[in-house]
Amino acid sequence: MGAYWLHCTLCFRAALSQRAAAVAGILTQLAFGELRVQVLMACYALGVAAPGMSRTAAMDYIWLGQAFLRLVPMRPDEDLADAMRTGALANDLCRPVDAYWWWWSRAIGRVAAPTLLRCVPLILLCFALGVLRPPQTLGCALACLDMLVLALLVSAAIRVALALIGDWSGGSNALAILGMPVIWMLAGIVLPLPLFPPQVQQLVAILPFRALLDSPLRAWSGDLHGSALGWAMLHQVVWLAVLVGFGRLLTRRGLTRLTIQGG
Amino acid sequence: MSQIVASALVKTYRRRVNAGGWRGALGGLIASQTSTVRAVDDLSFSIASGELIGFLGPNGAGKSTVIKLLAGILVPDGGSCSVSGRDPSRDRRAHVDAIGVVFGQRSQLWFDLPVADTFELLRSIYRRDAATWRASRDELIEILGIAPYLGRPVRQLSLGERMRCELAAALMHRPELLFLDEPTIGLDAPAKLAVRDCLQRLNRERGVTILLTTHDLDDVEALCRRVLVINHGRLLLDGGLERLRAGGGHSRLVRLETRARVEVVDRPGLEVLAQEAGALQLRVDTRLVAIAEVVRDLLGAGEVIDLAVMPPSIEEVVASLYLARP
Repeated sequence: MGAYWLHCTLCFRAALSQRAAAVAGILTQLAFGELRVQVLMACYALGVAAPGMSRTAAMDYIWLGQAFLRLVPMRPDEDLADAMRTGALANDLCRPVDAYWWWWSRAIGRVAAPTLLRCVPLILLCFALGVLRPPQTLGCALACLDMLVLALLVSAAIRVALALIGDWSGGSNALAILGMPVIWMLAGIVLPLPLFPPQVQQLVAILPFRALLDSPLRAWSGDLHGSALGWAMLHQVVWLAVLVGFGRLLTRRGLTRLTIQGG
Repeated sequence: MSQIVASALVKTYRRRVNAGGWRGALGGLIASQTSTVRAVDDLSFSIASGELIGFLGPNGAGKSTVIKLLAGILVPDGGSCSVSGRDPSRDRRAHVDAIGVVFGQRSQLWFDLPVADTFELLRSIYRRDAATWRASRDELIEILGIAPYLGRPVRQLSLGERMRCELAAALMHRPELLFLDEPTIGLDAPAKLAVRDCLQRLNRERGVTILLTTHDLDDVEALCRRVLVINHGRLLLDGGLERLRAGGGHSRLVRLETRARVEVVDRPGLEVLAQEAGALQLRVDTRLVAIAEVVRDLLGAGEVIDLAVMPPSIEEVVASLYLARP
């Protein structure tokens, strides 16, 4: 346990040094956030938007979504994909650690750092600009925090699983490239999930991707409360277990038929 | 007592065959062809505890694959291996806890973090008690002379500096057995000597068994008493360094210096390697012609300043061994 935790924090620390990328990210997300808000507000002004969400709630959702954008996987876990491509994997396997926990703990650290570097300044900036309301209650804030941590764990598990699947299909990231826009859509980045048509929402509620962004965001605003909050958290936990189990299965199968590339 | 026993070890790889170019690329989309390569082919050997063995073979001979099989990273397709009574791949975690591995061509250190952080991470992985760990760490830092590099991020280290740190990282947990895959590749003389010195001390003072893959035959001459030579995944030679030298027993190099250019009498088994003015180099196959006859011819051919008859260098012996069999 100690080794995995240390691995995670070391990866976190290494990734914290990427400050320039964070600044660039914040500027990009400000621009995209403003764009999305404008489009959505136009819809509200025309009365096109569904009644699932109030104007201000939608605005909160979009800005928070920009702040926590990094929780949504953009590509398979790069460290693992690189290690498999170059054969550096051999080094991981020379240490007495469980391969999956090792990779997963690294992925967590690698996602947590850029997320933190972007979300703190962005949220403060949004507060200052008056485009984001603070959490409704202390309870909402705590629930949101819990769900963000779960979202982080799910995100890392998805990244590792995608890298493992990529290796399975001969080192291509075709699946990742095809899958990413879908994941983005279903996590709630493009359009807040409560604004999806009701039939689609039922499907979206089952799929794992809302655990990445939509659930914690709606906990912040208090939109999710009571039993709905409980169910959303359970949804995260169940999918976390499924994704980790799936990753472990792929790892076990993969290691028995492993070849190390590059001599 | 045999510490490592490999019996009839087999590892095959499937390789995709692609004709190359557009035709190959498009053809591969429709029906991809694969061929099977036996990287390790019915390989058997055993190594006793405390031995320091040179593991030689040309590029692609299967050396790295054997090391990965013995380290438990790869699962054999046939045969079996046992290391200290363990089945490496079945028991990977327990196995790698007791061995050290260095792949000279890839780093196990943390690229973005100081070396000291990697060492700290290793401490938490191996869970040795604090006193043992500290003693081992201090000792390695001293032997390898890496104290000045500990605080520097790995990406800022030179290859020689890094390789010393790699070695330390592989030895921190005091393994009973060390697998080294080209640890001296690309190193300058002082770094190479530091690595050699460290290996020698480990082997002598702590009785660590070492399997050393290298293309640097000076490493082998300096360190190893026994060598294993493989090619195409098969064992070519297993024996002392002397046996390796004896492999070139029928070949001699003759170097001659004369006042004026001499005419070489053409004989079977005689090959002129170089000749200019009064300097001449010959290779003699002693199975075809007696060395005495060659020397007699040369002495009669002109006024000789210097004459030397030498056995071939170990490098040449190994090269001929690699090229000899298909």
